[in-house]
Amino acid sequence: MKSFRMTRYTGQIARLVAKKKEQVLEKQRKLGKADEDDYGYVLPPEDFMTHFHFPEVDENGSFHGVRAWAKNFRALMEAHPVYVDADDALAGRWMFMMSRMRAGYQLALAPFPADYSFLHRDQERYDLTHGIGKDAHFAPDYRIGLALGWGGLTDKVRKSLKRLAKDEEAAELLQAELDVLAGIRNWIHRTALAAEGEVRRINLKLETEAPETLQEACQWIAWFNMASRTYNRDGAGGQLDEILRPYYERDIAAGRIDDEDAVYFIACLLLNDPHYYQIGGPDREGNDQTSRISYLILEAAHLLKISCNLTIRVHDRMEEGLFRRGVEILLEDRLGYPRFSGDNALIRGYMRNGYSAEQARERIALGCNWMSIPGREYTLNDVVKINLMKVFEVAFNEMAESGQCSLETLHSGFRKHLAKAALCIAKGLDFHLAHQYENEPELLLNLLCHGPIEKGRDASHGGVEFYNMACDGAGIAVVADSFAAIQTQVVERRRISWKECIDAVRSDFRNANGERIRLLLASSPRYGHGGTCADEWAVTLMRDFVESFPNRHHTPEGRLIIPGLFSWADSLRFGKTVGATPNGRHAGEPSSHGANPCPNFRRDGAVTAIVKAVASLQCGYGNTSPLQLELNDSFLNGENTVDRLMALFRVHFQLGGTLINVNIVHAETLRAAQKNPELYPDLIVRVTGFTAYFIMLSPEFREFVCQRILKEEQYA
Amino acid sequence: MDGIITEIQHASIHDGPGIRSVVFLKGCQMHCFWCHNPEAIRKEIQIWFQEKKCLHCGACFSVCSLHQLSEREHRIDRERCTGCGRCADRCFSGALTLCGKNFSVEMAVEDLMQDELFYQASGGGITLSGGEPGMQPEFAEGILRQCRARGIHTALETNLAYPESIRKVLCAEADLVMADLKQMDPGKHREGTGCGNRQILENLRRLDRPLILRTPLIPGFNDDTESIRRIAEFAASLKPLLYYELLTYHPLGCGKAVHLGMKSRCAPLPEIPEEKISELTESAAAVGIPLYRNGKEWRI
Repeated sequence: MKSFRMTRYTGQIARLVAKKKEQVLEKQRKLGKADEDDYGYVLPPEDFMTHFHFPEVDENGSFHGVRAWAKNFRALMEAHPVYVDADDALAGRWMFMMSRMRAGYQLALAPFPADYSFLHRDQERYDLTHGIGKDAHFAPDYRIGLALGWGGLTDKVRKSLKRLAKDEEAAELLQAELDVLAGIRNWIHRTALAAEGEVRRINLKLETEAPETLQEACQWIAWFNMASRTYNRDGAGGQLDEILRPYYERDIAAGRIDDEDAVYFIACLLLNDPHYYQIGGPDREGNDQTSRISYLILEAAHLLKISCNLTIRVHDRMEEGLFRRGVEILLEDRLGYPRFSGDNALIRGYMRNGYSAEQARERIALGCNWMSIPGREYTLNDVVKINLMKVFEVAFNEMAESGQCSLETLHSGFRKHLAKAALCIAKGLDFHLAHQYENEPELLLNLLCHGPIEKGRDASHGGVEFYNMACDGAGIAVVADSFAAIQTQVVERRRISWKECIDAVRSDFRNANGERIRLLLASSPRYGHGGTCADEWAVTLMRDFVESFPNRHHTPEGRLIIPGLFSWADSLRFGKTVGATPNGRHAGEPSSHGANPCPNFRRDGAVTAIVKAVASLQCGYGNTSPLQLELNDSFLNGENTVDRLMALFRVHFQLGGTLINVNIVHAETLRAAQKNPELYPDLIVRVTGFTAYFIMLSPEFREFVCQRILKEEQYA
Repeated sequence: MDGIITEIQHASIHDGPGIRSVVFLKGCQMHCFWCHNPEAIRKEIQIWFQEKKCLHCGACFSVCSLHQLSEREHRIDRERCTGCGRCADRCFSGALTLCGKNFSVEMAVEDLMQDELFYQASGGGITLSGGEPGMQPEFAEGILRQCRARGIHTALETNLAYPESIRKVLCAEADLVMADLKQMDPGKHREGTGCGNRQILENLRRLDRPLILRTPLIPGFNDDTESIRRIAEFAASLKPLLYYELLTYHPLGCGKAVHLGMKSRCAPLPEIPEEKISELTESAAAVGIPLYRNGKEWRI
């Protein structure tokens, strides 16, 4: 692509980015920590909540069910403060997250109106993140809304309501959707009136009509994103280049805009919210769909240099130039974007579930680690997890108490308990799908899915075409290293006895000789080194995990479960519930990160070793085991860095890798920011699948991220 | 054929093109006072002791009388140590490990081939370094030959301070030679490295493989424009020269010397000021040959 240089909008962009920094600092001052994505929201006026009240709440101050969500959302929309900025091509910012405004809300435990206490025992025993009551985490098809506009969507709902008036569930849902749409249109209308010029004209039009130009399409997407965020934090994006391409090409052909205008509009969309957008990759037929606008999206992010979640889809027939430009920007900006998905393995894996190549190619990486077919597939990605360390702990303690100690006993115990944990997860997923509709219907995502409006059924309740429930394993490296340590030091070298090992682990290595034993165990082979028993254990455990789900990966009600390995930001939480482990890890220390090896996994920390290790732990059914790569100057100095990094990524994908997240951080900057985070309001790190402002992380989380990055980078 | 290797380092980017694996062979005929790989000077296997990790538990004392605890200091009689490794085998904490390991050519090649895909994807390959590969010529030649036969790009980092017969054998199997030339003045060269430079210069003149000539900038030894200019001029006369590279001194060898009990090598040399380094770089650049500094092309 011919190179791009912005000349006209640099002032607007600079002022918008400066204001964004102020807003991040303000959020940090008012709210403190937020161990998650930036999301793009801004703070509401301080007195807003003193005069706003949800109209429908139960006696506990919470709310659930279709009607309450719709009425409350509409009320919030109709009262939502307006936000316009003369420098911004798009109007609006969001300020509230309804799902978190329910009384009793906790991130890990959403209030749920149905009783699932029959699952509690195993959920607690294995520290399961069961996902019951969790929302969003599947993807909309923006094209539905862009084609119809808010007015067209309203007409579509009305027609369905007329047709399904006698279907009680459908009538209730569709009536609720009308409330939702009315609320959004009210917000748009009021915002339009506060704006001036072109932004005012566009928004008055978009209140009803479908977008026709690139600026209008970006504004429409921003409105959906903001409304959906306000409803329940939904953050899935879409194949942004293909979504915007028709508008861009029409505008260019008509001479309405040039590339600088396009980049400015897209930058404003990316600034509005760091949704997960994809560019490049194969179309349904397998042809590469990279176009001029794919590059312009990259350039828009490059211009902004803020928290951003762009993914470049890498596949056999991809356009080399887009891949290269992505790596160049990753290296130049050092902000953790773009990331790269390995579509060959993802497509191949998904097809193993019985889907066609065309369907598999439509499934894209739309969240931290998740995959979903936009608008067609309900997945509950990233909110269902098994803490493998906890399962191991249960098996280890059971073996210790039985007195029958052997590696085989421990492994068979692990598999037995893993199967119980997986069955509990599977039952929980069925329970969720049966009752989530009564709890929290997906009133926003329904609008941009194929089915819910047509059938009058919520996406969580039969509305969409496919139900492929995600479940991730966490902490696999700790468990693999634990098996390897026992095999090496207790069984093969006989340096310590089973009793010494058990006593030391159960005392958190605080008994007599505990520290000696801990160091001995910690010096054993580690997963990631390559060719060791720990690497073999990791692959064995990954297979155990994949095979642990009942009925060939189906819930009792027949829903498919697709396994992956990912811990998101839960590495800290998972570690807290697990005592010491035989790899020398102390009680309460974090779990290993996703499918990554434990930090310090080999003396030279060769980046090629981690690339191969994570590629060997792909579950193989179309969900991801992301590679989290921390790189520093020692790997990046010298000539031809872009080529080297591209080679590294290519080999990972060639070996079956599915998703690569990269941090390129200057160690000294990170150390300084750790001491004085407020001096670095624009330092962005890739936490996992998402990037975040360093300052917005809790001190504990900052420490965790620093430890991970600094420990790994010193060897890279 | 067997040899002794201190380490095989994967994912290197500083030892030739692309992503590479580097084999550090143990043993060197030079004894440069600034050496940044002191663990590779002696050819024998040595004990590597990280005192910070030592628990003073005494597990090593029970198998070897050369270890003693004196005033809470763990002492090793390195003069008598044969590197048998029994102490390392007993050590709980990893404070005691062995520096150096016996490898057959096949073992080394198998290890190197683990990263074959990365070599292919990046235009990389393998590099023999050290120590001095020329100190184990048959072993080194075996690795180079077997890798080359598999289509892997081979590079040799060498000081070329050995007879022509060894140079011919080794360089025949190397796609790229990265040779050090530290001084043109033979007296100074001998003073700083323990070896003269006649053989090195002769080997360089006769070399017929693509060459990168390198000079480490060492304070008090060659950090004067005259020394660097003379080397650069000599480099300009070498037909196979790809470029000449200056490498600034780094004190990483000092930390390693502590673990090896090499007391005379533990103190870092003073840093050469940046202005001085620029001056030296300019004096090389003035000769008009392609010039690199620390892995990056030098452009005026």
